[in-house]
Amino acid sequence: MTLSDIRTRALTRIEEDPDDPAWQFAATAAINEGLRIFVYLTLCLENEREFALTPGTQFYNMLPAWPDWILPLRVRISNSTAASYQARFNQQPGNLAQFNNQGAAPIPITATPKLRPQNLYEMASLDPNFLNNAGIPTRYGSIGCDLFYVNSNPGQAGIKLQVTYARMCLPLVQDTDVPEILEPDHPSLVSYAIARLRANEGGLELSNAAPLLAEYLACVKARKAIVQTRGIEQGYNIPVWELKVKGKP
Amino acid sequence: MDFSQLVPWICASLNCTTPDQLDPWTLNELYTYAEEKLRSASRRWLLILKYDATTALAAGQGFYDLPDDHVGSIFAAVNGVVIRATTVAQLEAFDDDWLDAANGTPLRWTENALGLIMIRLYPPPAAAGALALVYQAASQDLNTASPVATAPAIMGDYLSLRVLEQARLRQGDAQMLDASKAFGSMAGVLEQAFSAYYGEGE
Repeated sequence: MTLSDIRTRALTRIEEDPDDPAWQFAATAAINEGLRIFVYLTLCLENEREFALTPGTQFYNMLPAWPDWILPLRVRISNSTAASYQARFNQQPGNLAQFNNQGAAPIPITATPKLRPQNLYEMASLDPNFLNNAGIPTRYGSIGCDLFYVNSNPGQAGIKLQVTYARMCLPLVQDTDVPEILEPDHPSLVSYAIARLRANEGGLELSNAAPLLAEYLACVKARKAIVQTRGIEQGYNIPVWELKVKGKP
Repeated sequence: MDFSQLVPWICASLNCTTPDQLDPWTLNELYTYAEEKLRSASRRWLLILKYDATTALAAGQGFYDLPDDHVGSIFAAVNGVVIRATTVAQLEAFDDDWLDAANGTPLRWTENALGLIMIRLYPPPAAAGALALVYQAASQDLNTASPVATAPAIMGDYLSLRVLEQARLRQGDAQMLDASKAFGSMAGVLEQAFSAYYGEGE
């Protein structure tokens, strides 16, 4: 379904003109909001990019570099020996495709590239001096919305991580844009848009739209369960939690 | 997260085409709601975490100012060596004369020795050095002059829902109170994810 399809379906069902620019704006915003919430709760979109470590630095805030960052899923030392730029396609919010421009000088291939997740105190219990360690990292951690850290300080330039992370979706802007979530989940965006537009009115309209919100959340829960199971099978360091919805899902 | 990009959608949700048409609210009022909710979120969850290694240690000095945006310390290290979190009660049990401990290599830190804005190292350092902290930080101001906050994009949606909850709550009639509750419960769904992804804060 395209943005135009989803919007028309939602507006028609609340008896509004799908060609009215004001309603088009509101419905597009509601659909984008529903899409972002869907992606954030399910972690269904991923990206894999190379991240060049800076000698002398073990802590990084990821959001300024990668604004679509949600949380890390898997981290490995990149064994790419290519110098300079990596022509790896990456997507960024704003419909702007860009190449990874964090390439650096090549490093020797390591036989144990996977970094294991650890919190700060686990790292400290293994080595209280880890903030002074130089070398290729073997552990990583993440705390807060974007603080990422590794257990040793890369002493040389050119060490790159291959980071798989859950990412935020691209916004739907053009009528022909298609949501990045799976096609079977697109109808849930229609449900969310109707419920969200009805919520502005309150009263009977709102209570009548409540089952649609429940429908959307049921779809989120189902997709989240699949993504979570798949993530465990993938060996991702994925947070496992249960979405609790009040009333009937 | 640029809150100004969400303002047209919030206005539309309040049946206004532009911020000038807001009635009975004002644009500043919407920002005030958003700022309050962002501050509250940065306290409730470990949302904004910072690493800071700018505090210089002086020989014989036990107390050090914490960063201005500090909410709570998670982790501390002196000259790159991790030191233990300790309460004053534990320090007293450990060393009754802890306040007058001889200078040495700091092994412990406590944050409840003197209010909430200072950290104390035990024992005080014998030489100059550097203190590194990982701490939970407060969110920055959010207003029309500075609408951008360091937070994931979803925080904009969360704030929008909370702003609408507050705006409709102000109207007071039953129909709008229902709307207020609906926005609040949608935001509540996101709060479950914040707890799962970031953990509880203070």
